[in-house]
Amino acid sequence: MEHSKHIWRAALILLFGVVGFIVVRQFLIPKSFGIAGHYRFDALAEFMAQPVKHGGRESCRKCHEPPYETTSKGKHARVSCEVCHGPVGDHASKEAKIAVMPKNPSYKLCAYCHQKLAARPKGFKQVSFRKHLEEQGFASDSKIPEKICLKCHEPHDPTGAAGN
Amino acid sequence: MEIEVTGYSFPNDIHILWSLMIVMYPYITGLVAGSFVVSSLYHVFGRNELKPISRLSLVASFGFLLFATLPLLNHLGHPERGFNIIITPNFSSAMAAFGVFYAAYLIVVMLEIWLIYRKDIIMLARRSRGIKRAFYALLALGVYDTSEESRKLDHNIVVVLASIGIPMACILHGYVGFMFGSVKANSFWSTPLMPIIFLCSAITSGIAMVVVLYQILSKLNGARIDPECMQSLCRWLWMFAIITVTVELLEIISLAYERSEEWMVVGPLLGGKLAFSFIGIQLVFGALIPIILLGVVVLMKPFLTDPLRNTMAFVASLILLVQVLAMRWNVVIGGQMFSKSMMGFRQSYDPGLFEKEGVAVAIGIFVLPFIFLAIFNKFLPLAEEDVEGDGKASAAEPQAARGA
Ligand code: HEC
Ligand code: HEC
Ligand code: HEC
Ligand code: HEC
Repeated sequence: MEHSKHIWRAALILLFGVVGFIVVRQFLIPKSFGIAGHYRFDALAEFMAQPVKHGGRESCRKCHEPPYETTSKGKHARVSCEVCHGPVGDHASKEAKIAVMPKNPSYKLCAYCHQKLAARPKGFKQVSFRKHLEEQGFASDSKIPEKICLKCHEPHDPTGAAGN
Repeated sequence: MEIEVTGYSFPNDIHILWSLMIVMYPYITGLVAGSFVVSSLYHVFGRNELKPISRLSLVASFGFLLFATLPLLNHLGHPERGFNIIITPNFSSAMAAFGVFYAAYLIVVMLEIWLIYRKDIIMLARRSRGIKRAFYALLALGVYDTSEESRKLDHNIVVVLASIGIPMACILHGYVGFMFGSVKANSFWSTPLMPIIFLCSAITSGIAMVVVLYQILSKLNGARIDPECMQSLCRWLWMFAIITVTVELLEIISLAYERSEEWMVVGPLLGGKLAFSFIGIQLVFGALIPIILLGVVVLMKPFLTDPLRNTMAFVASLILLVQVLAMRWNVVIGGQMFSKSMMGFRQSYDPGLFEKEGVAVAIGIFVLPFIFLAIFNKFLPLAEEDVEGDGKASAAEPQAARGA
């Protein structure tokens, strides 16, 4: 066929593309891929080699004795510091502080655990925020003020002095 | 109120995580599939009256295809890992296996566009010089053969490619519906009808988009809008709009009629939280009005002047584009609004204007295909060169098609 030159050229380019892709792909597939499943097996070792970031509440104690004591005596004793704040590994080395630790004063933090939800265990203390605020004498306007819960509840000892 | 959850919701089942981006993704892929189907009506099914938009719709399909994955990449983060689904495809995951399919479809559309434009490319290569010439020569792969035989060969291959392309386009979009239809934990989504619903609305949005693009392009080129073509587009659009709304309602009606357990939550959802976007936009404003408008265009053809028909088609198409977007929203966001308990609602979701997956980014992504089309039009005319037509089909390269 004398008038099909352009088709052959296009086909050739396509062929080069496909073959090129297959070749390049061989180099791009990670070495350990597929050893134990459809993933890069080395990733397991890499994850295991990562430093541990969380230290539990005991890890905060030596530098933050006061909040540690308060929390341990209060109703939040069973709530880990790192749940409300962040992992110790991002905040302090063995000896000193290395970065700011997040603290979230918003009612949204409390909402994670205390927002009224029918599916939570019955014994767990939950409040419907708007209703709770009304009962405590806060006129409910359209938007809940961010830090409203901390007005009456100390996060480390929620039933403590600031509260009642 | 932003944090209140109503009814019996599971504690870990409170937030809506598939954002506006996941609404945009099926919307854009729908436009890909839809405009491809329109172009195939001409290339495969021989609807010759659609010739004026056969190129435009194909290139539009390509343009949307180029950017269809952006919303997903933005939503998931780490876009550089996106290529992994092509390098190590996992065929047990519909979503991951799709990378290969997507690439294949891209190649089919690209080849088809190339063959259709080959003659124009050669003309332009002959006419221009310097860098421009080299560019067109490269596009032509150095073969300047515009003989009758070569054109015939091109045409035959185009027919084959378009025929392969139709099922591919349908699968491409059917798969998006399948993605939702196969989430068996969500009974609002989990129905085999889902791929069909998505496909029909995809074709509707595709035709509507072609109507809009065609009219805008003709305005810009100062060309006449071909009345036969517009009439035919309206007829197809009317039909698909009706089918789309029918299957959309069919799903809801069967849920309602069965009084299935999920209806206990889907019913209040559609009539309550989604009342505006479902009843208001998707059914009344988005479906009823354009179906009436198009019905008038189709049934009262002899009484309509061209400008009136064009305006009605344009308005109906714009509304249908909104309707399909609303449908995507109602399915994607609506389907996440209730807890998997089927007995309570999650938090509501309002996309922010400037957040990572917010409105501004969505608009930004949606504009990209149009920019692509504008650039494409600078190099190769989107408007069909109509030799026996009114003679001013394209302003960009007026001599291109008739030169030889
Ligand atoms: C219920 C959540 C919660 C828990 C559990 C919790 N904190 Fe806090 N913490 C807060 C909040 C909220 C603030 C910010 C209070 C404010 O801004 O007034 C805060 C503030 C702090 C501060 C800064 C105090 C200041 O005056 O700036 C330290 C230090 C601290 N927490 C340490 C701890 C340690 C140590 C523990 C564990 C023993 C702990 N927290 C457990 C919620 C919590
Ligand atoms: C090696 C000591 C050390 C450890 C361990 C440590 N911190 Fe701190 N942290 C500090 C120092 C120092 C500051 C700064 C205190 C100041 O400015 O008054 C600080 C400040 C904070 C603050 C206030 C915000 C800020 O970054 O300035 C919070 C909240 C806090 N720590 C929480 C914790 C929690 C929770 C833990 C345990 C998970 C912890 N810290 C473990 C040394 C430590
Ligand atoms: C990570 C989950 C968690 C977060 C976040 C949290 N709490 Fe608690 N809270 C608990 C747990 C667990 C208890 C203990 C319940 C028990 O012992 O019955 C508790 C107990 C309480 C109590 C005592 C209830 C009672 O009378 O027994 C109050 C008040 C309280 N929290 C307020 C707050 C406020 C205010 C915040 C936000 C600053 C907050 N909590 C954030 C888990 C949380
Ligand atoms: C005006 C002060 C005030 C504010 C603001 C306030 N509380 Fe309270 N809250 C109280 C008092 C007082 C009690 C104890 C009342 C009781 O035991 O009936 C209490 C009790 C609670 C309890 C235990 C409920 C129970 O059933 O025993 C929770 C949980 C709680 N509050 C969470 C919150 C959260 C979350 C916020 C923020 C949205 C908040 N509170 C804001 C004063 C307040």
